[in-house]
Amino acid sequence: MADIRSRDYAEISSVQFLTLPVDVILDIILHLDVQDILVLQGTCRFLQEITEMRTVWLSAIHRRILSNGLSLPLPHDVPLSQLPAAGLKAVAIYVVRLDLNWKSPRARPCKLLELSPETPAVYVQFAFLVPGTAGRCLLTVTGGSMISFWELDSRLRRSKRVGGWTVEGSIVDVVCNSDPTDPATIGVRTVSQGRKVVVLYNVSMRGSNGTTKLEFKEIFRMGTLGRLKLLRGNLIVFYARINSFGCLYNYRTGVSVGMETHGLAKLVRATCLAIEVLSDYIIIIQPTSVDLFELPEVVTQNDVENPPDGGPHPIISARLVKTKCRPPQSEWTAGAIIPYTAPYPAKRSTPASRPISILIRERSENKCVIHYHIVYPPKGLAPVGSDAPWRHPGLDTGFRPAQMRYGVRQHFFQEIVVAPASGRGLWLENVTAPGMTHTAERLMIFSTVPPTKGDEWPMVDIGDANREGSIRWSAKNFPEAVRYCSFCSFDDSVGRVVVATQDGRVRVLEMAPS
Amino acid sequence: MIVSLVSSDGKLYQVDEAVARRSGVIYTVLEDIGNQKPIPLLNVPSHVLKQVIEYCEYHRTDPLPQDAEWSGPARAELVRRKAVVSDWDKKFIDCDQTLLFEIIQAASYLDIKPLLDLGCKTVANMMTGKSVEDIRALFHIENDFTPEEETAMQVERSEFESLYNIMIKSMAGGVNAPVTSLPIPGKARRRLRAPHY
Repeated sequence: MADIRSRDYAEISSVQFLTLPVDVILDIILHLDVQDILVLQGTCRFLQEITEMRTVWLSAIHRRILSNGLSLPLPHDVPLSQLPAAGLKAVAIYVVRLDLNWKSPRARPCKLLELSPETPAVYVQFAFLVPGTAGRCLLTVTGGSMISFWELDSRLRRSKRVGGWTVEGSIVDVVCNSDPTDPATIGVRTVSQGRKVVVLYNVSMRGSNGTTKLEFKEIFRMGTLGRLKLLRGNLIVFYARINSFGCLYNYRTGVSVGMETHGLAKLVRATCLAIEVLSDYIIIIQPTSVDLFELPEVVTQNDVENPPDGGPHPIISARLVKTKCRPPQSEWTAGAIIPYTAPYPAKRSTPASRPISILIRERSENKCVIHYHIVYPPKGLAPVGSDAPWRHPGLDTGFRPAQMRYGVRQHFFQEIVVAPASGRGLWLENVTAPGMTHTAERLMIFSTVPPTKGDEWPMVDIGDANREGSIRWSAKNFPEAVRYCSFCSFDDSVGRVVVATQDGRVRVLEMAPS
Repeated sequence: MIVSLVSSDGKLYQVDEAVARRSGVIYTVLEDIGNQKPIPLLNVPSHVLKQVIEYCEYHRTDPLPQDAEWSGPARAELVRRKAVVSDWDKKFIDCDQTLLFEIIQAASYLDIKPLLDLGCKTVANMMTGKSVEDIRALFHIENDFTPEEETAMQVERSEFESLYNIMIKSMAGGVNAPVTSLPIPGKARRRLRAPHY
């Protein structure tokens, strides 16, 4: 055997890479990453032709992009199957470039567009890109009652107001639907003369550059059950501060589910720092605890019989599966949940052994600390108090700080914004030194990796203050990009960060190098 | 039950039926015409067949991949999850480049998917992170582009490569490595230098 392997077969046989059957060469290419396919394209004409095939890029997209939780920079009405090979290639390169820049320790925005929603300037409450529009449609809420939609071109050179409307009363909350195929595109909560109302609108932009028209239609209206937190498919998610009570409402069937959170939350000023709805459970972060609830199936169904007496559906109580209280003498001010899977209505497909990441911003004295926790949801959702072991040895609480970043100074915009499926996110820091005449702010972007068993420290890149390279400075080339930031959001598929400022401007930063 | 296989250079190999059935082609032959006479394998020379039989002997108890599972994106996902190659497989496939290609070709001809995947994965690993010249040298590929075409492609790749290198260096801990800054549009830069507020 040994002599066979060591002999040089080049003389007696002429099998070379290029003489392999085409389907075998294709099989090999299907194992390559996007950057290696590009290199292979440059070697010779034959390989260039092969790598222009659709299957090559389709497979690269599935393997490198979709299986990592990244989304494609395509409008939701353009399916992957309609794209030609060149389009697939462009999409794959775009996503990989964006990913490389986002994960690089010297990540930086590559383009910037600034717009002033109104002149004279008025305060911008919310600014985000509507999901499913490939970062082309920007929503702004200004002056408390004005909703505007802006069309951004793909090269981020121009912006054009395509429409909008003024609501009665003042806008308190605006959320976008994570599911672009659902008729409800945005949800708006308003307060008008003491009446609190939630309205769902269907918004669509028709036409192409220059002739774009905005169509909007009110599709649902109801009195609120609390603050409007999320819109996930057909579910509206509320949080009532008074009882620290979370509520899901299916706007098509009228079925609602209540979540009675941990008792301690009622003793202190309760707010909801973060909430996420998955296809099987709901996670709520409050200033005192993290709670995990089972999602009752009936609330997600679209055909439910009306109650016999014709009245409203009774509120179903969700089962509390697990709760974890914060350590004493700490104050949580913001949180984020990364389940590494698309939120409801997408089915959770990640294996149960893969934990969920939770980021919590804690205030201590005048600084704050960002904690990174990993949580192992119990297998089969065992109820609280049962002996079901948490799945990871040494993680008996199921909740532990994996990393911390100290010395983060409080910023006006406290939230941690994350993309649930890919684990990308951002937060803002105040880096003003004593004696400085103007404020200095820094946009911190990070990317977490879904932790798997055996990875001791899966996230090396979020804020360990001792690791110089572990922090992603993105404000370096754009020192003013996030200045006076009052609201910040980002679109995960195209990698555009939207920053609204206190002086009434909106900046769009593009993180994908072009 | 013993199956007889004849290589392209006329050598006779006798293997267990369970081993032979790992090949989709031989499986079909045995189902269709039964195990009556030696099966000629016209595209597989004896030194390759020997290797292939060695692989099949070792993996004789593995479950056979179901067809539906091994096609399309589902297959890509499966391949990704099965990224861990066993030590035996690693040692088996660690051989001369020509023999490797011959094994891949034989696996494709005989329809032995795990072996084909192992081979393809090995070749793909050989290509990972290499430059165009490296790959040309590795696989004896002749450059048939004109210089103009080559320059155009180089420009297309260069920025991508520099980004990739930055990431690789940062992962290796070389934070102080020089970083080529990405172009910033002049208009945006001016705006940033002279803020309105």
